[in-house]
Amino acid sequence: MTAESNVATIERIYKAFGEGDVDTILAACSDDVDWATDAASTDAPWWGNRHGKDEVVGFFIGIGESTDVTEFEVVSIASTENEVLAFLRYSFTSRQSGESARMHLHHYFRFDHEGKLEYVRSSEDTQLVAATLAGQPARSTSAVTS
Amino acid sequence: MSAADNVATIQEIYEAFGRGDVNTILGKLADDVDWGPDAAGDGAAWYGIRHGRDEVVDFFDGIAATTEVREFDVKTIASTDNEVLSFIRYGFAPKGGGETTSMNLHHYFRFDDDGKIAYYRGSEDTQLTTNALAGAAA
Repeated sequence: MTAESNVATIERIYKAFGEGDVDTILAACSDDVDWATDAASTDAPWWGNRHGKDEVVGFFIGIGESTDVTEFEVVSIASTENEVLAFLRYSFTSRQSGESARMHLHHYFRFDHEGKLEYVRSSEDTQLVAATLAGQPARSTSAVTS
Repeated sequence: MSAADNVATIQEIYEAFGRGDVNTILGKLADDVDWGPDAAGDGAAWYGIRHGRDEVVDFFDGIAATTEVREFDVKTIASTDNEVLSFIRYGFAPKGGGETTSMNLHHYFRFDDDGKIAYYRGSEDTQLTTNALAGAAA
């Protein structure tokens, strides 16, 4: 698999996320994929390390059941031979608290030799996410300025 | 400037960070650089968006005044024509006590036409950082 095909896979995953098409995302994962948000706590339903496709489903269920995603804009995608890194703008509203948040996401994807995702780490403003879900929005200003 | 030049600039910045050489980092920035961590809160001394080199000094002063960096391992660097994205393993301990906290960092840099950094956002586990610093201060 080439860097170009890996980037195409990520673009397909992002499109599927927008459509709520989790099956397409799972099909791009290796059987033993290691998938996690870079969050040490479990304050958001999608946090926590997941291993294998069955556990990754819980990541998307956690997002879908607790939030309405109102912005998912890919700002940049870059790649190496077997990795893809991305920078995105993201907004959501908590279904429980009604509070909203806007932030950047940073994604790191590593592919195996068959072009399947074997390692995924997603970084977000965890303090802002936890506060928003709890109905306690952060006091300061957004880091999303351009 | 080429993508390879931009990657080399980021590698120089990371090396300078490791030896506490802030002036070298500032020399790579545009005059009106927009620089900040992806943190809406104020739980760390380096949080907040900075504009211009003088304000960016506060970012590095904040890290140095409150933490000891125990690990800064650049796992990968990727680039587009005018951007560099990286993935890093990072560990720090609060100054004055506290255990080492480890996490991943994700960096995004955008360059201007002169090869200077015009925009930076760095993502970390802000909840973990804030709790580690608050725990050390308690």
